[in-house]
Amino acid sequence: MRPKIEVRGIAKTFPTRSGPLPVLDGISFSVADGEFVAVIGPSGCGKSTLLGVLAGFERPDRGEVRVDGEPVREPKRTGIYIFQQPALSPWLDLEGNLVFGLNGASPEERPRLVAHYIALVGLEGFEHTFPHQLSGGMQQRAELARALMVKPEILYMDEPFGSLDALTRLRMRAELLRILVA
Amino acid sequence: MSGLDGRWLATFVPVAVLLALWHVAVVTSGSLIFPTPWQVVVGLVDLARQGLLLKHVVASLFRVTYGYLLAAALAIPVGMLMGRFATAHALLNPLVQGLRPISPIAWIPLAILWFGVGDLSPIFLIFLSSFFPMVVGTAAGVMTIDRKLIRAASNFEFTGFQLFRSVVLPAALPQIVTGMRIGLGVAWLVVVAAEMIAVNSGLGYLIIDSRNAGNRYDLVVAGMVAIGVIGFLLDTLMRKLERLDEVRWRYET
Repeated sequence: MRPKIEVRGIAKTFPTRSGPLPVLDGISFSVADGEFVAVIGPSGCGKSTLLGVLAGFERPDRGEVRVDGEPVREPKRTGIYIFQQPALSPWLDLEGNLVFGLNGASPEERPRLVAHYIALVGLEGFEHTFPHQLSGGMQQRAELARALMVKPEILYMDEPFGSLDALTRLRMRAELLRILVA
Repeated sequence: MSGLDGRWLATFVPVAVLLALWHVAVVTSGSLIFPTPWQVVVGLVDLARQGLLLKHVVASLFRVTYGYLLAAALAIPVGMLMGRFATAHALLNPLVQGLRPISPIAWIPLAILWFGVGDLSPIFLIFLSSFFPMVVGTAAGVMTIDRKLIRAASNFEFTGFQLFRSVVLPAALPQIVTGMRIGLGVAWLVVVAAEMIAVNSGLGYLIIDSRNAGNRYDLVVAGMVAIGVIGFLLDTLMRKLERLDEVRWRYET
């Protein structure tokens, strides 16, 4: 069976003041459909850069990333990136942020869809709350809801719970597994 | 004493003290040409009765409206280009930063040379004065947009105009509005100066004409008071804009 994601020999170097900084060099691996892969390494080792290349935010200097056999050229809604810090639009309330993810699609079932995903991450009653009025954990849950609502085939999660306190982090990990299994 | 009473008192007391000092200074110095506060009030009422106050206020506001709206119409798109595209920034920023420190007053001779004596000269000067704060504010607003927001939007396949309308504009709006507020303040400062030289109506003209045509310093100060009150009202209006939901988020995060 063809792998979902194929990474072939990608390399990425960033220019810095003290000369070029190679971040990725000769990375190759593949991920099967339905697989849950964790990339582990010390901070600054290039995990976010790797995910950014996979999601199509950045082009590798060399090598290639294919999803379903197609080369990745730009970000797509089939693979949603979840940032280390929440990236909700601060001028939109929770509901507005979820609708934002739909990008104008499916106007008919929209209210039901939004309600369903808000309930999924346990944020009922906060539909008209703005991101800065929510705690960090709640913002990350909202972002997860926004991502799941577009039914992505891949989630690229860049230490999504890294900025939360230890207890919330543990709870969020358990919740994430529960949601992904569902 | 309630909070509201306290605020009124805090506004009223310093004003009353200033007026009292002013009155005493005029009376004790025995000045023949400098007006007492009461004479200024009488002067204002006189101007209003003759319809001159309204005429000059309307003339000044008319020039500010044209110059300011022209400036906004150009500065906001240009600022957005500068904020969004590095090439536009590299090309335009040296021009903006080089022209910005030149006081609009220094342009008066050129304005008269190009546009003659009439409404166009002050409108041009107002345009110049309010253009730069708005260009700088807009460019800064767009440049400082959180990169995550742009990435998240591109992840949901926002492109081109959609991306601009759904992310760039709302994200930069608070700083655009701040630039617009500063721009309007400067425009109101400059219209008075421009009207002293290039035209024969407006509050600036009223001031200079009251002095030249008979040392009517009561009317000079009356014109200054009118400028202050209207400037305050314009700024209050712009502050209301800053309190809109679309703008306020910036100050609460």
